Amino acid sequence: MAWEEWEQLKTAAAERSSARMQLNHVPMDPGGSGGQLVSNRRDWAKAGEDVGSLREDISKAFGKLTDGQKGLGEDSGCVTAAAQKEVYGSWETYVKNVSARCGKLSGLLEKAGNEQLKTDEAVEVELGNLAVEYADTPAVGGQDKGR
Amino acid sequence: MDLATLKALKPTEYSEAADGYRTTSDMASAAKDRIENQIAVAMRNSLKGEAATAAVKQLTELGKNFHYIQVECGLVSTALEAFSYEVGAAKSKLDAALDGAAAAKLAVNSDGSITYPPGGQKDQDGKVPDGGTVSGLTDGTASAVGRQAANFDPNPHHRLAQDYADQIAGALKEATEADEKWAPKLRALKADDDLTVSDKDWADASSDTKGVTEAGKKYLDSLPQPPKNGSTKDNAEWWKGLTAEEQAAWISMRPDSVGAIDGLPATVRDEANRTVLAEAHGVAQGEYATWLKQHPEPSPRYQPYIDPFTGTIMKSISVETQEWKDWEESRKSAHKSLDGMDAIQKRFDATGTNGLPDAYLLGFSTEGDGRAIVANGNPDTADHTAVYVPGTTAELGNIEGNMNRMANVWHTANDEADGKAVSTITWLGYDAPDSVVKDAPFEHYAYDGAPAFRNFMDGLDTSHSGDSPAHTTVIAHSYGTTLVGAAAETGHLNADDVVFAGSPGVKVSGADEMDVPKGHVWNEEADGDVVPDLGRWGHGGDRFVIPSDPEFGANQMTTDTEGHSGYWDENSKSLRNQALVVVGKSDDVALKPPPDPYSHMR
Repeated sequence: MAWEEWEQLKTAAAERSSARMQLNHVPMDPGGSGGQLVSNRRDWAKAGEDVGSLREDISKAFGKLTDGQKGLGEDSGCVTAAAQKEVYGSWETYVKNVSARCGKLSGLLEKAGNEQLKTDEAVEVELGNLAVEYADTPAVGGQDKGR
Repeated sequence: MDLATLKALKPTEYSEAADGYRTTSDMASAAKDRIENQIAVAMRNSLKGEAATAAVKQLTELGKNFHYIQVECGLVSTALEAFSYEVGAAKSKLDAALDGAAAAKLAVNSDGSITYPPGGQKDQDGKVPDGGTVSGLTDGTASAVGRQAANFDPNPHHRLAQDYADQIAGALKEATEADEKWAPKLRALKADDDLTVSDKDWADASSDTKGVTEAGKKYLDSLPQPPKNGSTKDNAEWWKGLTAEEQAAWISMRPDSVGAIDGLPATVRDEANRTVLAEAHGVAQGEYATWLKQHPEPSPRYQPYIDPFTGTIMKSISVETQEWKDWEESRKSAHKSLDGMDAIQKRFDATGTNGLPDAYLLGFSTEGDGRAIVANGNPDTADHTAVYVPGTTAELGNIEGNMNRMANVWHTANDEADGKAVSTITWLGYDAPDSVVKDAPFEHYAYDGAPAFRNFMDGLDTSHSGDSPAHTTVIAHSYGTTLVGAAAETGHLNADDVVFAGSPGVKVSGADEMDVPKGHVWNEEADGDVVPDLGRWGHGGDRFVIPSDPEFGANQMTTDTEGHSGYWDENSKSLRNQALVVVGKSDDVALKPPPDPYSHMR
């Protein structure tokens, strides 16, 4: 490849990438409220709605999970029955917590959608709080299953 | 487990509880798919900026919660079904013995012993032989002794009572064994107490899967088994014939097997293989952490540079020590399969970016150099499907580059597809040669991989839905072309078009031996690609002919890329020509002019 050709390619590539950068560029809004949020409120709201709708599916499935427990009475002499009860209890908690997580994330996305969160930064702060809330708890988490 | 407990126990109730967990697992599977393939995709498409990225990240974490629920509740469901099956078998035996005892008017006591009445012929003194009580015996020797005693007794009730008591004791023993086996296995399936799904959680899930599979062997064996050496159609029939519970049991206990069976729907294979991937990643991450502990980074990493000629120590220049460099090399190799798994995960997370369609993991294993089959777009519903066979040095650890090539083919083909659905698949389903110099000259890699490749292609044909089959193109690179040639040479290749790129020879000597309609074998040889002319001596057909030779009879497509590895460069003609073949626009493909037959006379 000739040297000039190489230079041309490099220039072209640089132009392409700067064009791409512009797409992502956050224009400064003199009013102070803004960032990417402004033009996309509806998309944020839609995402929030979609995440929220997962809770209905969870609740339906959870109903079936609970129904399935009805027949299992106090099989006092059956250790598997006792183990199952513990397992059920743990999943009851887990599934409810996941549903709550859906609710929080959904609420946050909707807030971004309906202008309660005015800037990208505000959304990021809230998301950061969520991330902290659900961080791993290695001391009791994961491995604490009595194995 | 005592008699009263087994009598009262209803195996169907465990089965109903299992249904509840299965519904939860199914819900989680659907929710995870919705998050990954719709909600996150919409957000990636419409929202930009750091806040959006952080939001998608939280969404991805939520998706992992659902994946975890899917896998673990699937295991709970299967464990309960297996317990129900085993305890149900014990209970049937008990019921039969109780019915028999009742019919014989024998009284079964609460501890399972049986009291029998006086009976039989009067003895010399005119006395009817006494009744009595016997306990059931399950131990072989004791049981034989007891039976002998009963046989000597002139009271015939004694023998009958002993038989039933033994049966009752046997049933109770079986139920107790099942009970004691499953209780700890179930407890291991308790949900994690935090919502971060970590690699450790997946390593746990992996051992959970193993535990349930071992304990549930009897149950799994009782289910319809996949056909051995059956056709892909047989495989599909087997799967369709299973009930929902049976399918769930196969997916949770043997995800590795289900994910590898050709002919099963892409969505089923994908679900199974994603579980295998997540668990394998968890296990590998643990192994890597152990490796790091055992091989601490050598310190110092740098040493002053010593001038090799003068021997002067150059304090201002530091270089890495040989020890550190060696360590780094082994560290990289310890991390290799994780590199591949991370790359596949990265592809999943890229769905929606630049319009990239859903990904399907149609095969996955970490054994040996690893295997992975990754599709862009669902091949079962695609109108045009391309399957790419990579060449020498391809392995799980470096699958990213090969997946990117197929992403490029997807984009270019999709632009030309006039709205038809396109799926492009990277098929790393064989053990490719590791080294160009040491291994690539051998043909066994190709012949060993050929049957698996043919079967995969048949499987795509079988699992394709809709009235008309997909238009299917095989794209092969380098040693991959040798495999595809070997596949056509030794059996039926289920494809409509074949594209070779940088082929060192394909074993057969002409396009007419490639098992596709005339005119549908295509070849690319780029400037500066030395592989074809070196390879012909090893892999060429008769008289060392390779697809680049006019007498082979392939359509020679034009290329504008350089060397052996550029055939899939973005925006290149080399790529576009392949994409045109993939979407069936062969008339638009740019061909090299036929060689001038008299050129050598000038």
